[in-house]
Amino acid sequence: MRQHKYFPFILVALLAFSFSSCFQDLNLEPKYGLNAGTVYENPDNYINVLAKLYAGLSMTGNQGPAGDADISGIDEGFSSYLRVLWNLEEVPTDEAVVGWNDPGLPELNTLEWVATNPWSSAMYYRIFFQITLCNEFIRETDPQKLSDRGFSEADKARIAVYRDEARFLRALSYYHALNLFGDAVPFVTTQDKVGAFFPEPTSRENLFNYIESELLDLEKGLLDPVPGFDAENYARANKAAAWTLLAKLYLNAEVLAGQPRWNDCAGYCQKVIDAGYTLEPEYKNLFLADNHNSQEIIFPVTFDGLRSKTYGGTTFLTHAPVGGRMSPDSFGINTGWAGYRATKGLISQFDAVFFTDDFQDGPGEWNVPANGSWTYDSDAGAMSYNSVAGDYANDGFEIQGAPENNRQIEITFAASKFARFIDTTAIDSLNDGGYLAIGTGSGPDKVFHFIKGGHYSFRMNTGNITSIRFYGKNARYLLDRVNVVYRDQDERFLAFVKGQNYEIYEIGTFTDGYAIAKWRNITSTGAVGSDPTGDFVDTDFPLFRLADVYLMYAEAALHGGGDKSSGLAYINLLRQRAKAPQVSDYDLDFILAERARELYWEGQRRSDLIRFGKYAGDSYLWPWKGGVMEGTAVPDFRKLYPIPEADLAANPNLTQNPGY
Amino acid sequence: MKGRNELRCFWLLALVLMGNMALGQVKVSGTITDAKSGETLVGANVLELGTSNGTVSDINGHYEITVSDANATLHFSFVGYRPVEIAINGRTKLDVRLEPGSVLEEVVVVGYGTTQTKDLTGSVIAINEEDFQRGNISTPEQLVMGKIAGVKINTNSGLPGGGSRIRIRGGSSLNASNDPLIVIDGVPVDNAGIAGSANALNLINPAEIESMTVLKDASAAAIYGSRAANGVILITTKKGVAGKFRVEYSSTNSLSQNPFNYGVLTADEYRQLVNEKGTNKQISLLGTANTDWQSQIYRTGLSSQNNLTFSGGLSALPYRLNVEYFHNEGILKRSLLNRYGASINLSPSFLDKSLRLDVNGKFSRTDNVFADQGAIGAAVTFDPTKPVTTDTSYNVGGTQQNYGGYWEWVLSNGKPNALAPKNPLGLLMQRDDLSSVNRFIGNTKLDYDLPFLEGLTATMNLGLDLSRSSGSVYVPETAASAFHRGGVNNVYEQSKDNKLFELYASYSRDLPDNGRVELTGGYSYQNWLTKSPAQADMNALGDTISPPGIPFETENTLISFYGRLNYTYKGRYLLTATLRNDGSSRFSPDTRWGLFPSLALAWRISDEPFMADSKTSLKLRFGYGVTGQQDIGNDYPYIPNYDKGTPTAQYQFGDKFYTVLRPDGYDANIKWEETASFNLGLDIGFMNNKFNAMVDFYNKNTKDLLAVVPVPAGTNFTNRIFTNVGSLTNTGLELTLNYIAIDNATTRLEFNLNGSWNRNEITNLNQSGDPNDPGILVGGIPGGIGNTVQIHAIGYPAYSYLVYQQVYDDQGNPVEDSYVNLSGDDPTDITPGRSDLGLGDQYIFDGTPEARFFSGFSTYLGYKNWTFSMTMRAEFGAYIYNGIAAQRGYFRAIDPQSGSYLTNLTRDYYRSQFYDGDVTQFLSDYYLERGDYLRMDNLTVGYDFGEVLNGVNLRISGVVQNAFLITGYSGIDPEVNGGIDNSFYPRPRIYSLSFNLNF
Repeated sequence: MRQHKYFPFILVALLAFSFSSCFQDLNLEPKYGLNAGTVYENPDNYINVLAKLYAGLSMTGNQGPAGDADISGIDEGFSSYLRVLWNLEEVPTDEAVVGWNDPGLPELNTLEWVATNPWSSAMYYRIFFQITLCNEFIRETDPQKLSDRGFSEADKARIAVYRDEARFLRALSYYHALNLFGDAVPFVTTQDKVGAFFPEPTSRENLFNYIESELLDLEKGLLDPVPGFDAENYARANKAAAWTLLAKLYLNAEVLAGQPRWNDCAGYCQKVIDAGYTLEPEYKNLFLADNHNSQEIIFPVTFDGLRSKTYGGTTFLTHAPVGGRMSPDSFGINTGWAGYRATKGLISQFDAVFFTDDFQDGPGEWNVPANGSWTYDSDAGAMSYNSVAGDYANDGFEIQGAPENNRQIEITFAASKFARFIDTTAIDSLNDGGYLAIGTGSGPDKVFHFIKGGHYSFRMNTGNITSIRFYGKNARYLLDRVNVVYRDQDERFLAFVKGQNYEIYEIGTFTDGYAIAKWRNITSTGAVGSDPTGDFVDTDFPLFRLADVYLMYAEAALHGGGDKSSGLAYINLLRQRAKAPQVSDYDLDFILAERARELYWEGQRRSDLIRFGKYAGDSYLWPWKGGVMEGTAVPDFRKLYPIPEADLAANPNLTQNPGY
Repeated sequence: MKGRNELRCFWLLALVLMGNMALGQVKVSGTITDAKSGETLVGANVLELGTSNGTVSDINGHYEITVSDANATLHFSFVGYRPVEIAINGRTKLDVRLEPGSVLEEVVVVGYGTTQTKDLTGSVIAINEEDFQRGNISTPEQLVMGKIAGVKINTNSGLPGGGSRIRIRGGSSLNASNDPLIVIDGVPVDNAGIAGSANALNLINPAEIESMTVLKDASAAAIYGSRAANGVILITTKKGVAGKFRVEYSSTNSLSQNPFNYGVLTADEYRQLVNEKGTNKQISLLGTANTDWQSQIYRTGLSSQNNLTFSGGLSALPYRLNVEYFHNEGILKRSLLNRYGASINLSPSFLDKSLRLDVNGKFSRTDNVFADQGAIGAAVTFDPTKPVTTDTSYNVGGTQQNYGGYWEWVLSNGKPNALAPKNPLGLLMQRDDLSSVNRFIGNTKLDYDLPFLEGLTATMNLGLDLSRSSGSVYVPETAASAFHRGGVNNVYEQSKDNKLFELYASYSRDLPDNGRVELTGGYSYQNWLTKSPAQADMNALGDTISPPGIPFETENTLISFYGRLNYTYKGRYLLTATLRNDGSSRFSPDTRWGLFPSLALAWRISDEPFMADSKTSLKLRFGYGVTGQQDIGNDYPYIPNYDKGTPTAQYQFGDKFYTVLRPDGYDANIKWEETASFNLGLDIGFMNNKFNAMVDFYNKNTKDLLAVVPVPAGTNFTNRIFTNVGSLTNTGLELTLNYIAIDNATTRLEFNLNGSWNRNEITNLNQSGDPNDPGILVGGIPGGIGNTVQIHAIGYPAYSYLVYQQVYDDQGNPVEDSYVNLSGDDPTDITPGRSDLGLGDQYIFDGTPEARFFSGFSTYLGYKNWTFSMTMRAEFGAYIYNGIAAQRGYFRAIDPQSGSYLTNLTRDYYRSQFYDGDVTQFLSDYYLERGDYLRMDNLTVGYDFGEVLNGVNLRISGVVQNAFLITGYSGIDPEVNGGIDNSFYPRPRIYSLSFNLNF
């Protein structure tokens, strides 16, 4: 047994070893990232935390485009602040419908959402994610704390500006909370630390006053306005951003807090206007990949195809409305998601576009006489129409409606063919697009002989046409994409109508309803955005822009809050840019319509309709409002979204908005 | 803190103190022979009861063992023989004759030691090699499918080496893992999976497993403390045996076939339907081909599993060496698993066998080819009127593209339509998704009989489980599936290091008055470290699409102290008490230590004098214990961490982009969930144990559930957090029957049947105690992004279905857009609803994805040299959501994007005649189908040729796996883990022929 004697000692040594490893090893920390204790010790980290506060408006998580999501309970790609906000402000209005089946979306189309709707929940949680993060940052940037950390004066001054920006972002989110959910929301400030407690709501007036007082106080600390791209500070909220938010708060003050504030609204609009912003010369450039250069944008939410990748924001706005015949190439993206279109409620705000169809499909819904037959030649990519020999009086297709003067029809032919127009009183000239087209005859027998295939457009010289007929003369001719479009001259009308129906018979069918081609990932010079895969978009989202401020001023002026003649001048500046006729006077109805024409699909419509009393009830109906195609009244409580059931269960201090 | 430290120090002190009592030792030797033939048995096991002291017989059947005292009892066992226990009563020579036959009383492995079946107090089932499932088995857990009551093992799919879902007595967690703890030769392994491997367990060679023991109840599992709430599976691998040099070679060669296709419309049916009901545009998109896409993507897979084993003893060094080559082709074209394995076991002993070393090393390398499983769904969806290949090419920006020659849906610009399904065969053939995973699991176990105290053995176990994986994905730039991004050319890597240090001691002694006590106490340290470098996302040409993000590294440590007391009185009153104290780095210093006690009592009634002459054996067991669960996939949930964004999630100020820093949501007070459970069991044997029955009733209550629940808005940096909230229960009954109908010299006929009932119910789910909790929606379905069909709701089983109630016409066909009004506004509708959930007219369906009853049935017939065996499994009471029928069972599904491409429908359309597909319809209970089934897993015929050459024995067997499936479910397979049937890799039918040679 002698040889055994050293084994117990080895055992004891092992025990000692295990003792030593017993206790320290349980304190493990993440290898990457910082913790709350260390992050604020380095003054260089503050801008990175601030960047997250801004990115909370654009991105969905920390991985870009997806992964490590900020909030859960909804698909991450859906959960972008801007994407949810946009859906809540646009889909339940005349400006947009969405054909997708994703949870909660169909009910937004018809204003029939329930309290568990994932979109209103996502907005609610997005808002409070922002507010909680801002509270933390504001708490940690307290001047006393910065001094305690021994920062230099320069660092302290720099961080003090960040702090006011965080306060601005918190006020912005509280503004959205008040606007979308009313005063039923929890009210948390820097006093409320992270942890398990049950926040309480405050009153409508208190919340309004809190946002107002915060903005009035913090704007002094913000950067001065710099119109256009500022290589140093572009996209940071400056004084003009705070003024615009104040103007919006006052614009909606009656709805939000029961007291109109038109004078204050006009006053802060004027401050913004005086700051030197100017209208972007071309309306469409405001929504392109290089819109950061615009002198009109006051506060953008930025996106980048390589460095700020998300399925929300402008990537969503660019992909989601592209479908049908729209070519993704012309949007600078690889594919459309074929979801969103406009209702005729929006389209009718513009002058008269009736319908169009693409004859690639055959007659379709079009008003084509039944004689003859159509065959599709897939090799040629074209539709042939075989008319009944000699009977062109009853062949062909016709355009019905009442186009106004000087409207345009575009027709594309594949090859040289004869065609005859009847009722040619409408036809003023035939622009051959570079090809020859010879017109002979007159009156009802005027015949055009299209010598070559190509693009032809017609202008009509008189109004009130009820019918234009276009008949084939020969027994057979080839038509390639015969598209007929009446196009408004207003350059703000960026609809895509080929192959789309004017009416929305089925919300799920993309080709029902005109598509909107406003958001693109192409620069003003035609270059495609930076992401070579065509997935992610460079276009920034103009959350606040000068045109909106002009219209806010003009609206306030009607309420006696400003100078109406200045308001008229601002309106005509917008119309001049749009190449729309100038107006000599305006009223509230005009403002609401002009806001639709200028600001459609920019996330404002619901608030506008509510302010004008046209959202709930039956004073204004649009397709599928209330769940029926022709539109029906919806109850008043729909003006506010419900507090998520999940938060009502988690926080006993909350009560649901009435009606839910 | 201080109190806890003292407790731990107590354990260590106890260990040391046990060393101060000493007694003498006795050496016993003898020969072990076959009772019938008289042949000596080589490699029979000899074990001193109540200890881990043991040896094996040598080449001459001779054994020699030094036992703790002259009154020790020795346990003799050998595979295929009935074990015996003999008290040595002072003898030093003891020859033993073992009877061939079934093993009814045997040594089973329990945590930190072994015990005998008859002495078990908890619900513990051991399955030995001879009862394993046979055939082409790629992963260990499949060996015991259907064999154990209360243990439900379902393969996830037919993927080669694919994983399984193992549920022991239901799931005791909501969001934390419901997987059992798996311990291989004393090393708790990480079964969380590793990048590049379909299943972490497939890195272990099933042929090298000797037995699998399942600790089902808390009294047995509590020795594993905070990880044992879902049971424990102990895997024991084969060991070297002393004796002559032996070689064994086995080879199993298999053919796998796809047994069922989804019922979709044929090309002709499809053309007829579209021509009849489609628009001109849709008709114009039809093709002229007749393609059965499903037959295009599947094949007959060839597999070969080969094992070569050497064993024997070099003087005092028993060894076993195994090498394996496994080639396993999946039925989906291109899917392949190749495994090269080697394992070694050395079990030498020193110092007169008082110091015993057990060295195990298992190395495996698996090379995988992962087929693109997207092809399975695409094959169901793809328009059958289109040809597989085409010569057509498209002009894309001046370049001709033909997408590898596969027919694809293209846009007018010639580019692939990104929304349309891709050519299924094109998906398979144009993706090289390769991985290679190396795994080493090894341990060195040292048992030392301390010289100063008779009956005291100290054990040290050092274990390592190391995995290194790497993989690559390549898709050419011409493939339609990745055309817009220019193809894919990516790599990934991951490493996992799992280190174990265990030190424990056991002590046993007989007490006066027929008592016997066994004490075990120990310390364990285990550390898991996982790392993955960040990799760029690149296209086929090597252009970077996204730069590398943040590398991944996560680590956690578990430190534990444990002890067990076994007390036996008069050999028939048994008590087991265990206690484990676990400290986890996953929780804050204030919450990281937890105590897990258990107590079990058993009464061997048949050993009482009043039953002494009975041919019946009877044992009653009762156990109670607390176990935990801490596996939530996050190693730092209590730390207020600032998470760094990736380079693709930056934000722009001016012309610079800034990395973002985000505070993450955290719960400073998070801790493990605790499951308190009791078990009442009865073991009965009739007719001299020819007929055995085992009945167990259990109830498990989990409190402080680790669940992801909403946090009050404004109070944390997230809206949902992993926290301890709520509770749930599992209640169940298990029955195992075993009947040996015939057992004589030429014939043996045996039947095994087990059945299990389990009921799961969520009893609380929120922090505020709100009874109107809206529940948590789970169970995503394929239609729409984020639509869910399941709910966790108070008062219902987890994963209950939340659906609309379909209205049917007189013919029993569903009426589109018509659901029963449950909210009560229509008095003619009397079905009770759940309006308090605030979820409209949805209701919680009575029936969940989990079977209410599941069962396994095995028979074995041995006649002379022939053996026949089979295993069947059945489940009843589960409901399956037929997601494929829901997605592809309405007319408008032919044209999802308004005329840009066509997709096929399932034949269910012919029944439902649904036109439109909205979310309400997807969530209709019409798509819930009974998932009852009976499957024959295994049918085996074997013939033993005996000695075919000098010293060479040959056995040949043929096996059919997944021989048949009886079910009323309309999809291809009702065995859908989680209950939501989307496209999944079908389980193949496999025909195997095995050769077994040994000499």
